[in-house]
Amino acid sequence: MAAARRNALPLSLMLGLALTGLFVLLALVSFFWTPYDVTKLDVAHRMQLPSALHWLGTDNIGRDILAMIMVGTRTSIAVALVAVTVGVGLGLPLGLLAASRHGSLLDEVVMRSNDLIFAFPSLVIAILITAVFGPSAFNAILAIGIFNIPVFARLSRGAALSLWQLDYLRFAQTAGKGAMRISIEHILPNILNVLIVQMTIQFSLGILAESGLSYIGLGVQPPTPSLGRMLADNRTLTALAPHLTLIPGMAIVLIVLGLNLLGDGLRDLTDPKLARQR
Amino acid sequence: MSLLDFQSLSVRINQHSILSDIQFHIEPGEIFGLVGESGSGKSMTALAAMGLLPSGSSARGQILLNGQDLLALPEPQMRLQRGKSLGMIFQEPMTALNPVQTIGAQVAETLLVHGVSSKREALERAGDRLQRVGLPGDKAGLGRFPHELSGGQRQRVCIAMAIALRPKILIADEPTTALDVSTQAQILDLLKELAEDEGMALMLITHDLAVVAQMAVRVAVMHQGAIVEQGTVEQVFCEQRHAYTRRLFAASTHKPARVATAQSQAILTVEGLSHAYAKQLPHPLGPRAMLRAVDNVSFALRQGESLGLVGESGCGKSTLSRLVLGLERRQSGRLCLQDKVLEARQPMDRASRRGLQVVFQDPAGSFNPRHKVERIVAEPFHLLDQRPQDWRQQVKRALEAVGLNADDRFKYPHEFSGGQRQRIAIARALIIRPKVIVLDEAVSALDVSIRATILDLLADLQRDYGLAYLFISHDLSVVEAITDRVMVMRAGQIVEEGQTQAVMQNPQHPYTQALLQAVPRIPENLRPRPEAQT
Amino acid sequence: MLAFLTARLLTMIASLLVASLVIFVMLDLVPGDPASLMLGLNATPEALAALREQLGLDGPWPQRYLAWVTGLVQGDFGLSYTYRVPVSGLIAERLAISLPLALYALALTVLIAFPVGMIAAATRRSWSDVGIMGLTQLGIAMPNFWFAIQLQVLFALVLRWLPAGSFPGWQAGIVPGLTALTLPAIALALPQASILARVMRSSVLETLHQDYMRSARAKGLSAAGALVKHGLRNALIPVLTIIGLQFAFLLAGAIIIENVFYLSGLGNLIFKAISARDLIVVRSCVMVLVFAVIAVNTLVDLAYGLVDPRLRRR
Repeated sequence: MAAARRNALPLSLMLGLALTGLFVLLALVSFFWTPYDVTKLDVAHRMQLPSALHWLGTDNIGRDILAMIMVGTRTSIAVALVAVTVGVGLGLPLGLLAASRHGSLLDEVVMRSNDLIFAFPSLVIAILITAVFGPSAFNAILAIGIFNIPVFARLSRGAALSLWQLDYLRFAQTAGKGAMRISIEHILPNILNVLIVQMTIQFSLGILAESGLSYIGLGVQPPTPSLGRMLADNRTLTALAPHLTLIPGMAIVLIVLGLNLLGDGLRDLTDPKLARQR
Repeated sequence: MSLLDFQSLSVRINQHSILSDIQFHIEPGEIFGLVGESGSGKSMTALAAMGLLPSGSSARGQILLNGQDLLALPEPQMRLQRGKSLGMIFQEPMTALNPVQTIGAQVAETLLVHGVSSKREALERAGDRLQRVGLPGDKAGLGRFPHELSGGQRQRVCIAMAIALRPKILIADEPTTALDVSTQAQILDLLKELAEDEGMALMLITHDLAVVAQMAVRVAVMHQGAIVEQGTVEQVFCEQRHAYTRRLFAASTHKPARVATAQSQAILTVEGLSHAYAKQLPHPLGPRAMLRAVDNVSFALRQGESLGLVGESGCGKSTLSRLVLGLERRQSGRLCLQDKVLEARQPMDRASRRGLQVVFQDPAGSFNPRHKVERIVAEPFHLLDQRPQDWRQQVKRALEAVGLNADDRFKYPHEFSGGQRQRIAIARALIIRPKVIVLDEAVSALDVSIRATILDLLADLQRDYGLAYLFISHDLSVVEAITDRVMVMRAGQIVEEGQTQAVMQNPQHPYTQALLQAVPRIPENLRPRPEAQT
Repeated sequence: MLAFLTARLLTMIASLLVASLVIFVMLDLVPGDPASLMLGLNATPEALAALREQLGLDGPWPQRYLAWVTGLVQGDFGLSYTYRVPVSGLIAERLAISLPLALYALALTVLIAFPVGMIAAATRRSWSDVGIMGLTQLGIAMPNFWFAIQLQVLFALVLRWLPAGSFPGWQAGIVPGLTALTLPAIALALPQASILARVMRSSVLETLHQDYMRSARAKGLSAAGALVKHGLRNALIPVLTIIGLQFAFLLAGAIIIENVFYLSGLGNLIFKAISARDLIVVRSCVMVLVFAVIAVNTLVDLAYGLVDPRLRRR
């Protein structure tokens, strides 16, 4: 069993790291260089198949697909990253606070508001925000980010609560340390691994959500390229030129797959109990 | 022919030797004791007989049941033996039953698996068996779920499940270790009675020598995967031929040499302490019922004194300990630490905490796994206004005082054994020289031989530093060994208090009497003969 | 059991009230003047005044909120500003597509995930387990609308087995209706089934290590027998939670899939309402979605009570 784990583990971690690394690199390079200008239309060379000139072909108005994917990946990663940061930034302190005052009114309020947000799927939040403020990348971040808050609040509360049962936290209290200090010094380092795993999961969900919102026009607005809108722009042409939707779609699949594998690998690495069951 | 015959059984798991050359036999209707400390291989021996060894293990040798080798049986046939010829019960009755199935169905299942055709008949017989183990076997009794039962009742259900088909042998793996003493006595009585009435052999696995002395006819002592000594209880207990047996016996009856350090001046006084929890609501709109976990408790702990607090689970001793330690707000009653008076609801300030430290039970959960020993032991310095200049020196000295190496401070807690970790916990409690240390089940999780050394250490430290101990435990024999005075707690109240010797020898309260009655003891005629003590 | 039921229902009503308040604040108070938001910048003062009166915007906000909520309870969702018909009728018409689609997808999800998850758990570490786990990773990583597009191209345009979209209406019969919903349901179900199969697998594996499984083996049950008789029902408890969350996702997430398959479901209505700034319709549609989510969560809680006797007492 031990041997099997040692063999099985690095595979998902390595694959996940490689895929994630590749797309992060593409996104970073796009800041300095893309094969073509993504805003330049070249109708004469529209809907071309992959070739030496256009590695991944061109879209319905002649934009280079590789360039679009590089910038689109950058957009997706940026949106998901900010959304996860919002979720962790607000959810984690709320969860830790609720756990340290377990059973109090504050705990109850935090948990009930969590339940309330869960009643609004992120798409519904996006609809509400868009209905009032109009569609934009910022609103997409807000919608995904708000939905992330209860995820992290619940996770960190649960993990912290089980730690609060342990004697070393009781001892820290008899050493005169307050709930805040104990949360930072004793709880945070011990729930960090669970948090990091959840962050990769929410990150990948964020990328999926962003592509969905952009697809129906509630997310990133033109002319900023986005993987979701590339699909929307070209979907009617799929039967004629399948690569127009296949390639951006595969890009999303690979980014999300990479992040999920990374998360799984990290979990196996940090949680031997779970690794035994996989 | 013996009923169950282990012939040079050896077990390896992933190339590690777990059991080597186990050889003993059990006669029909006999109660056989298998004794040893944790990790000695007692449970593995039982699981090997049941054919339930963990995956990755391989067994050699023979286990003969009525002359038939169980190890040679293919799984489909071995399966027919389990529950029918061999029954087994386990240590943890709280988790041993399926939480989502009625106990009637779970007992009836044993019968259904082994060929009882109709569910009705199986349930009827399950009802009989439940009655046999002292639980109601009517329709309502059969329809109960595990969560509605206490630990002792659940163990009875497990027994009913295991004996439903009147197996020839029942294997009981630490059947009473997770139970309170009075419940333990009842379960042991039941097992003995069943063995006698039904002519069933009992293989009783335990770490507790007194339990074996009370129950078994013959006994085997296990140590590190091997049997070091076996024979009748009289032989093994009185002769103690093997060195390990002698060590085990000495440790289990060990009393540290204590000098009286108690002074007349009280250092910790508790007056009229009460604490109630809200019970779970029976109905969302119903009235809120309160459970009085601690009910008007008063006591005084004198300087240099060792005061015991005993009681069964749920009696309120943990709540009391949390209240004294200031981990929970006192609802009413006051606490005087040295000269400082803390009224009800008043939080415990740092100055008061300086005089009061604690050692907990769980050697695994007592330390932040990501901190090194130096940081762990130094944590109470937080109570001082400023960490002393020579704090590293003090950590070194504290570690040496509890019998550890000064260099151990650079290691992580997981690098130590359970006993060593408890020493670290003691060093941590000692570092700011408190006047009082609360020992909350501090030796309960330890094996007897390690427990003996920790008790010695505690006695030495008390003498050297003039410490006062509040020693909280469910184990009367430990309390007897280490305390000057003792309080007996039940349902939130102190029902009896007095000098330990007086209470143990002449208990006044009926509850204390029942409690002492229930504690298994090694009878006088089973004590080692003088020539064995060399 | 009765106490358990009342407690759940009370929680549900409280959640609904708070949720309605949130929606009301978002759509009626945050925009300042909903009437001018709905009519745009070029509105005449007369039109604005007329709309304000129609919306009842002249009263104080608690009064408006109360009027809306009492209307909702009585089934009166107000009059659509763009369609000029009662909103309740519009929503009922659209739900006739969206709700069956979500249920169809949920049924597929469960039907796929349960056996697949159990097979993976039963054959742990074998090739079939590794293969299933790999496929579910892919299933989770796929955006469902992209998968929907590919399905549409393959099965409707190339193979011509199933219609590419649009809904004939239930009056055309159950079979044509279900046929039209099949591709959308598959597109919705496969990614969700991938998630559920993984949860199922780890939940089953979790129960394998429980003490009561060892007790069952000691009674003479085989490993497989113990798993079926004792493991599955306990494994179901975490799986139920996920199914509840998934239904909410399927109902709301269908908005995107409806778009791909040209279905005029609830999502389509919301979109048109947003672009027409018909806040009355948006408000009620969102409320219906949230109601569905909360109702399903309550149902899941009740199902917990059925599966787990420990919860019935509370």
